[in-house]
Amino acid sequence: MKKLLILCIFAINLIAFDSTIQIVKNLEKHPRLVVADAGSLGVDDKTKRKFLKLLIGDLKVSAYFNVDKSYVKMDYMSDSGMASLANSGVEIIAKSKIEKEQGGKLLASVKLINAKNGDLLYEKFYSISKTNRYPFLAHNIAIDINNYFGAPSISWMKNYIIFARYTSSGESEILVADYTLTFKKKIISGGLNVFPKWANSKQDSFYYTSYNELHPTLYLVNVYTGKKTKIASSSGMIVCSDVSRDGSKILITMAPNDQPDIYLFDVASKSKKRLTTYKGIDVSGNFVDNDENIVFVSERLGYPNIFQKSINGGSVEQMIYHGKNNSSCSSFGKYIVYSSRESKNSFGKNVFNLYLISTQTDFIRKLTTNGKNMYPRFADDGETVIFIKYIGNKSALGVLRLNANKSFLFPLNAGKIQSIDW
Amino acid sequence: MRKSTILSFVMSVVLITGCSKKIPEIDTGGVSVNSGYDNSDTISNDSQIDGMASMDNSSSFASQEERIVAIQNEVQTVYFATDSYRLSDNEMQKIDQNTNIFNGDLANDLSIKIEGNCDEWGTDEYNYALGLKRAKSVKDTLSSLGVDESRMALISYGESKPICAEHNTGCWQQNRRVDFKLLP
Repeated sequence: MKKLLILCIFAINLIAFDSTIQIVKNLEKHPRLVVADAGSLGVDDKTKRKFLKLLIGDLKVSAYFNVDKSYVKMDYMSDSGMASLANSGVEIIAKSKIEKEQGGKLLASVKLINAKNGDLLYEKFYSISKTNRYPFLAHNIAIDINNYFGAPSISWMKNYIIFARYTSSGESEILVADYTLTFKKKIISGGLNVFPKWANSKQDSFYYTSYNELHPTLYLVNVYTGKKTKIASSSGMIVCSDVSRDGSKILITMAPNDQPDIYLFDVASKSKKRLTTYKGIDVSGNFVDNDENIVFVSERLGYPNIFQKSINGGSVEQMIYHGKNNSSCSSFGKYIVYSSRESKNSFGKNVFNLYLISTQTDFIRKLTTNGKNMYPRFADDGETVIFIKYIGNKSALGVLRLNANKSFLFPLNAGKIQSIDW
Repeated sequence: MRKSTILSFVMSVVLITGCSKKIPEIDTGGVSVNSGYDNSDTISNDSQIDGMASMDNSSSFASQEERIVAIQNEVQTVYFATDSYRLSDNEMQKIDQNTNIFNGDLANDLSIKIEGNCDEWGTDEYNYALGLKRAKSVKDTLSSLGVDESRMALISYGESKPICAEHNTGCWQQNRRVDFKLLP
C-alpha cells in the first residue's frame, strides 16, 4: 500500500512538470492588482501612457495577477482613493511615478501597497539612461513585483529580442528590441543580412548571415564593441540554426556542395562535422536532450517534417505523425515547439498552428487555433514561447505562457520579419 | 564636254555608292545564332531567335557590359510549383533554350550565377533551402545538357527578392523562380 502511494505521488509529480499536458482547470486565486498613475515630471503624456500600458501588459503576461484594466490616478505620497479601491475588491496597488532628469535619464519610483490595510510592501527606484528605453523600465518593475509574490519568474522580460526584417527586395536589416518590440534599435544595415541568432545567454554577441560577399557568410558580432568575426562561408546558403547551452558549438545549415545539410560546428577549433546526408532538404537543427541529440526539419518523406538524431550518428527518428507541412521548430531541453500547416488548400485560411511536443512522451499539445503562426521561439525559462501571428493584413507578436495556459498578443508594427531570436 | 559629263556621272555614282549605308549581312545559319538548332528543330519562341539574330558578333557591342545585358535579356526565368523543386516539361524546354544561349559564342566565356527564390509562404530557413534546391535542379539540368559545371554558381535568396509583393496566387507563382545572372 505504501509503495502504491509513493508510486502515485511520483506519477502525479511527473504530470505536473510536463508542459505537453494542458492545464484546463486553475484552482489558484490570482490577487487583483491595479497599476496607479502617480504622476510624471518632464515626461510627455504619450510616453507616460505607453509606459503604464506596458507595465499593465507585463503584469498580465506574468499570468499571476488579475490586473485591473481601468486607469487610476493617485497621489504618490497620500492614501487618498485607497479605501474605495479596496472596497471594489482590489488587493494590491502598484503606484508608479516617472520623471525625466536634466541629463536625459528616466527615473521611476514604485510603491507596492496592500490595498486592504494600507501597508507598504516595498518602495523601489529605477533609472534608465535614455527615455526611449522606457519599456525596460516597465519590464524591470513588473519582474520585481512578480518576484515579490513568489510567482514563476518572468526575468526573461529583460532579455532582448534580435530580429531581421526586409526593407526592400534583396535588402534587410537587423535590430534588437524588447520582447514587445516597442523599443527597437538597428544594429546591422546595408545589403541582405539575415538569420540573426544570439551567441549566448548574456546576449553580448550574435551570429548572422551576410549576403554582401561573394558567398553567403556567417559572422559573429559583439554587440558592445561592434567587432565582427568571420565564422564560415558557403556557396548557396549558410545559417546558424542553434547554439549549444555553453555556446561552444553551433548547428549550421550550409551547402558546400550545393546541398543543404546540417553541420555541427565547433566555435573554438572551427572544425565541422556533417550530421545529415539526405539528398533533399535538411535544415533548422536544434539541440535537445542536453545537447546530445538534435531535432531538425527534413522533407525526406516528401514534405517538411520534424526528425531527431544523435549528434554522434545513428538512425533518424520521425517525431511528428500529423500534418503535411511542419517546417519550423524551436527547442528547449526536451521540449519542441513547431509550426504546422493544416489547411488542405495551400493558401487557405487557418494555415499554420503551433504545437508542443516532448522527446520523452507521445503527447502533443496544440497551442494556437487560428491565423498563420510562425517563428516560434522559447524564452530562456522554457515556459514561455514567443511567435509571430498573421491574421489577414494584421500581424502581432504572441507570447504563450505554457504552464499558465495563457496567450497574449501585441499588435506588431515592425515591418516584414525575416527571422527572430530570443 | 561629253567626256567631262560622263566622268562626273561616274564619279557621282562612285560617291553615292561609297557613302551609302551598308546593310549588315545576317548569317542566320552560322554560329551567332543558336547553333544547337537545325532546320528540323521546332522553335517555341520565335522572338528569341529574332533577338539573337540581330547580334551578329561581339564587336557590335560597345562593351562587355552591353553584351552581357543584351544576352541577359534573352535568358528565360524558370518557375516552380508550390513547395517543389521539380521541373515541369515546359520549364525544361526553357532550360534547353537557355543552354543554347549559354553555350553560344556570345556567352560561352561568361559565368552563370543561378539564383533560387521562393514565395512568401513557408518558414525562414526551409524557404532558403527550397530556393537552393530549385537552383540546383536547374544547374543539374544545364550540366546534363552540356553547360560546363565550373561556369555555374548557386545561391538562394529564399523569399527575400520578390518580383511582386501582392498576396495572391499570381504573384506567388512569379516569385517561385530561378533567375540567371551572367558575369564576366
